[in-house]
Amino acid sequence: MNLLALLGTLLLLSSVWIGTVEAKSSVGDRVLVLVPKLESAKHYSRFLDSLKTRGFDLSLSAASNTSVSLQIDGERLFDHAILLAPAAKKMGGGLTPQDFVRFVNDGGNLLVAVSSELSDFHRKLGKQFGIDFEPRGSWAIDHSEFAEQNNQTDHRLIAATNLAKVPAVLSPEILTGGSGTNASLPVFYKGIAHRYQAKNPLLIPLLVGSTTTYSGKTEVDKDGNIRSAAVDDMPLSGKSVGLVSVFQTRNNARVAFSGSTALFSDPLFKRTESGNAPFVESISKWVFQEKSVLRESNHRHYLLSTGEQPDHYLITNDMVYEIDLSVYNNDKWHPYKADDVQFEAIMLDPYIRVTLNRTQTSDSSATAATYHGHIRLPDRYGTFTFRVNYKRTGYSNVDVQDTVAIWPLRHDGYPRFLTAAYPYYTGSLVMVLGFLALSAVWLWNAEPAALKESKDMQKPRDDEKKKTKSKSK
Amino acid sequence: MKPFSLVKIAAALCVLASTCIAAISTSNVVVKVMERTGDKLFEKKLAYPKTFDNGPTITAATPFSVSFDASSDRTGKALALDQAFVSLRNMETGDEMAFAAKMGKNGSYRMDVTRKQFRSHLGAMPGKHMVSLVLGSFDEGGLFYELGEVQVAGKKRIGNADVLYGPRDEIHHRFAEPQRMPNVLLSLVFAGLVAAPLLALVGVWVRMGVNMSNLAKEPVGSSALMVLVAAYMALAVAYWIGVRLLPMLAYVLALALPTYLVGQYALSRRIQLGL
Repeated sequence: MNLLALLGTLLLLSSVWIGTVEAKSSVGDRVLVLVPKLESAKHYSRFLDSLKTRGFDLSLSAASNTSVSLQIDGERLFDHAILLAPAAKKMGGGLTPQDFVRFVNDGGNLLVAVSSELSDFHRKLGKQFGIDFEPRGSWAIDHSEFAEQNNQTDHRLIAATNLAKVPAVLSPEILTGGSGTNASLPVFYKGIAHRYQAKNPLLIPLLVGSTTTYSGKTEVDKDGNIRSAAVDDMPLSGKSVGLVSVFQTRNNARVAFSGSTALFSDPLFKRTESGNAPFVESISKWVFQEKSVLRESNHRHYLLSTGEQPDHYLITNDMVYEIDLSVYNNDKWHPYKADDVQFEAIMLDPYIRVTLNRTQTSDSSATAATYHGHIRLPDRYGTFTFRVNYKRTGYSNVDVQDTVAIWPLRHDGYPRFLTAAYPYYTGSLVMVLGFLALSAVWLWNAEPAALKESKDMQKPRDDEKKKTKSKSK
Repeated sequence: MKPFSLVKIAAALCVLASTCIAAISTSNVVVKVMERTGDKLFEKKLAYPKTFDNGPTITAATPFSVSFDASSDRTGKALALDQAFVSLRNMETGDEMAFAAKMGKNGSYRMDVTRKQFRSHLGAMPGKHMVSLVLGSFDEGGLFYELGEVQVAGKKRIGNADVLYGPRDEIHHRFAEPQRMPNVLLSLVFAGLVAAPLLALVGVWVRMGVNMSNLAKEPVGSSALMVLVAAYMALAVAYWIGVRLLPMLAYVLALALPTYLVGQYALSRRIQLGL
């Protein structure tokens, strides 16, 4: 009996322990996967199995399943969502593109894969993130860099090598092919192209076409050969052809759009010298926040002289600002090392913008890197904002703000004595000393005895003279 | 390079049907820039893979055209291309733009950059551009042929309206210059001049025989009065240095009564003693 109770306790504790083991994602491990039919998930078995291996809890559902919901009572049911049903005109229980946008706004991450048969649902969803898919039925075509499929050449199955050099998203091994030859393995892609907003800093075109890639519709002629349909005067071609793009929102949620569901499929994973598996792994790790997630763990500012944070600062005070930054990679937080973390002191416009220095430490177990800066506050008083606004391509945003008051000097805070005023100080002092001296003389001075005697003798003579004068009158 | 890497690259090439062997040929490639009046500013006929040098400058007023014929290497016949683009790539920024060439009745292809196209697209990215033919066919493969460089006229946009995702320029606050002061020596000289009359007064007093004989006759009251008067002067100096009004007023009030009483005593004693 005791043994049973012990076993039961151990099982309970282990289940609690297992329940509390965190997934490798820094935000959660609940993933919703929507596929056209449940059977079609086997085409993506390698991709989905890799997610399970990484600790994600997958909830597989058909897109037509009306019981699918993203949130309940305002709480997200999932941390991530993968849409692999490009032709589905609606998702789940009446989910609209706006529902997925709301999901992203609430912090959920999204991975969307479409194909040439994409529906208006996906087109509208893409437009919310600056992705404009080509018309339905279009393909990304390349007559120069294509691959064989089933022993037949298919110019719509392109071998794309134009990867964006964003180390935060694509690891250097992917860009160099792992062989150190600076030539990435081709990513096999068969699907639709999209236009992207090149100047949108939130959007990163990860995989784009090469110079010979273009977007066009195809048709089959009477001989059964594939032909390209008529193109516009200025067709979408070259680097403007977006194949896979990712988007990071201002609230650090991440979204990826791929114009090809085949990119994630087992046949292309298994091709010889295929870069699909490492590429898909890299972008899925980024989208699901398993890497390149930045956070600020602590920040402080204080006077250099006292080492304490005052209620308010005074103009021209010397202060120290420190901030601790970490980056999430490989299942844990590491110190984030960079040389471009900047501090700003802002009152409407920045008065000060300086680059902070990283504090060198020998502590190998540290999870955060400390950046510090010695700053002399401006000689302007007012309400300032101390800000570290760190936004870098591929990394999550860090925006730390503190509102502080900078007061002017008190009436007794200014320099009291000026070298140019020495004559005036001397004058005041002379007046004080002169008054004291005069007071002392008046109190203590006594006339000398000889002078007093002569005055006493002179007095009767003066009296006689006065009498004589009065008699003569 | 390691042998295994070579094998990997060779294997990659084997699965790619790339441009190693292109089955498309071009001929009668003509690059032309015309004046508005119809005069030829620039015309160059090219044969693959030659390029032209000293490329012209293209403006909205000088139509730019490229014409060419395409044929299949296998059959030798004219080819209906699936992709017939003339690509312009900005050598500075890497931005690319492609214009589709249309097939004419005689099977030749021709691309013209209209004034509207120039103003809406090319004019926004002036500079040196590489002109290339990008041809492709589902049956024959692709051909990429760089023709030469042209200069696209236009004004570059000043400033960068793009949002910066990177370190920005540092801003160091410029503090107000400290007030300029005259030389310290000058101040000291004038301070000496100000102090001189007092010193002269003391000297005159000494010559006149000023003394402190009455102190011995009445030491208590007069000394106390002098101390209190000196205390008032010290308070004035302390306020002048420290500028703390309320503590100074408190001390002034505290000293007022003793000073009055001591003064009354001292002065009455002087009268009594006939000083």
